Amino acid sequence: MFSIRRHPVFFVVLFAPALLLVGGLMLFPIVNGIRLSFTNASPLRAETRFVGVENFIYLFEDPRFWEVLGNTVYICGLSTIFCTILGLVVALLLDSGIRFVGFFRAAVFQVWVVPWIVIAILWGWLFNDEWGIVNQFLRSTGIIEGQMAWMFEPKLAPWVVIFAYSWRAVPFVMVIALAALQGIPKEVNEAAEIDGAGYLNRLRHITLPLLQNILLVAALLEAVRFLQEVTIPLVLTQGGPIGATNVLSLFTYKAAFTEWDFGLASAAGTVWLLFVIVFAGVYNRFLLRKSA
Amino acid sequence: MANVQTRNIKKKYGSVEVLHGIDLEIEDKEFVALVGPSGCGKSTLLRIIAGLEEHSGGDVLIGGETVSDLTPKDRDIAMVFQSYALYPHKNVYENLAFTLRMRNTPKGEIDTKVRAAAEALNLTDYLDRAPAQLSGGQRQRVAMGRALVRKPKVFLFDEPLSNLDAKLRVEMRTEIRRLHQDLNATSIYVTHDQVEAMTMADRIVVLHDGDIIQVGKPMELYDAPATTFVASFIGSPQMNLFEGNLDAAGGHFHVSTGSSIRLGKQYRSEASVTLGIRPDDLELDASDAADIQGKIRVVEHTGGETLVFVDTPFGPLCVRAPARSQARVGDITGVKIDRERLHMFDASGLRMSAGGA
Repeated sequence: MFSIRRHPVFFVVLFAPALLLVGGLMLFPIVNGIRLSFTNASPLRAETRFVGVENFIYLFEDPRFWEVLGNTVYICGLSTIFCTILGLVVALLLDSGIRFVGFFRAAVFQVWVVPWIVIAILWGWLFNDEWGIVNQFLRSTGIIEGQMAWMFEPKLAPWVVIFAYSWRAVPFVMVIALAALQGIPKEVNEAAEIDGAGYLNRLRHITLPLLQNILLVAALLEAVRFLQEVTIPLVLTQGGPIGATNVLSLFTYKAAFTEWDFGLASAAGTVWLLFVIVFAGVYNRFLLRKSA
Repeated sequence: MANVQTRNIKKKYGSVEVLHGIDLEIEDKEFVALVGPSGCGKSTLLRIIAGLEEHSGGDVLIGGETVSDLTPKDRDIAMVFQSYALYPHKNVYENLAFTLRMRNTPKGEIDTKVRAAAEALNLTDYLDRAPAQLSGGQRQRVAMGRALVRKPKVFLFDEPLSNLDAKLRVEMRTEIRRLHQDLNATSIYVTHDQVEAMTMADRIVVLHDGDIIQVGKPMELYDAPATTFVASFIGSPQMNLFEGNLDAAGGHFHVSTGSSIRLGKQYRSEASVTLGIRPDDLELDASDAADIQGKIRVVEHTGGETLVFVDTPFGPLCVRAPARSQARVGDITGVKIDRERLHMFDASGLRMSAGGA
């Protein structure tokens, strides 16, 4: 009846708002970002010049950038693994028939509404070397003497960030895993019980295989979220000490808004975009399909 | 030996008691059906025997030994669920093999047993399929195969045919019966369908509101229902039941409209009783010898027989007439009663015996 061939104008008018939104808010920034990465754009410069792949060459010749990539994989990767495992464990506990499930679920979910900036400040207090409660606890239990300089040790600081990331993401994984768990018919577990599978065997042969895909998707979403996250390293450690917590998102942020080098920041952003695309593609190809 | 006994089994959910002390003896190799309407506690009882549900009192014995403290896997039972409960991520072979794997059976033996079970259930061509790729009947057979691959002492069936269409249900009924004969294992079968219970079981246990109402062979229940509940539950179409009272001599049954029937038997005189007559024991009879007169309201031809619903002074009545009966709606007809097959129940619904004082 209303085919696009017979009423092209009508269709264009209907699609226009959606096209404008997607084009203006998503497509344009991406394309413009990629374009900027080939320029020396900066608000401090009067004229913007096309510089070819110079920004990329600069990035890849800078050992600092490789360090940043390493930090990103290390911090985001471990955070993703931890939050997925922890979220799953919490979901399993909540699904085990304990009382007040609604209360605990809501309580765990509280974490999800805490803004990142609050976590950054809280973590700063918790891990403060002089009066932080973590050191206080470790001292009082005799595990350490004196104080651990959490934020000033290149080996320790990434773990503070990883801990903050994981903690913040647990509720998301928990809610998704719990929903999936409750979607497994009770009879399937009962049949397995009668078939002779104890709790661990049921977990291994029934529950985890059935949750595999949904957990992998949750983990992917969390990984992408961690890759975007700037607040915690920026507020908590400013990327330090000695760049130990300088991740790609923070590096890009600083290049753009501290050094005002939009060209370089865009190049880092483009690398980042490619990284996410390749990562999600590989993930989709090798992890999700197999279990479908 | 794998007889199953329950001794005074009680089950409470909070303050609500749903099983009020169930005593049941199931012989070795017997096929027993637990029937009753929804919420009568039959599934709960089965799940207690399986060990999936904890009981609040009493004891469950399998093979003479108490299993109340054992987990389901140590009770040597198998269960077929209404929803089949297949493992969706495993193929048919893995579904069948799972219980053997969990019991550390050697690989070669697993393969032999799985293939034997698949052969017995016509599943050999489907061993590589995922449950989602199977039809309802095939899934049902996989669920059965998973139960019989291990040769357990006791089979438990929880409404296994309820999700199948009518034709398959009849087929699977025979199939289950045949498997039971081949395997010679004790079977307990929960169903709300009295036809399934009647056709399959050696003995039927009728449950109602958490109590056993009657236990007996199918025809015993049919011929001598212990209560009005059993009378109306067993048999299709259900038994005609009329409320009324007996005269002082106990030989006539009166209803409030004033009509009465000679019973041909003596009962003890009761003010308020229920008279039961099965549709099979009634006959349309145009002659003067008819016991009740009435007007035909509905005629249902089912092919092999005709069900005629007659409005009588006693109330509506269903008569099972031969196929191609000439009965027409609106006709006045007489109905003849087989007096040998009357059922009388007292005010509390319990069966009364004839000839008593």
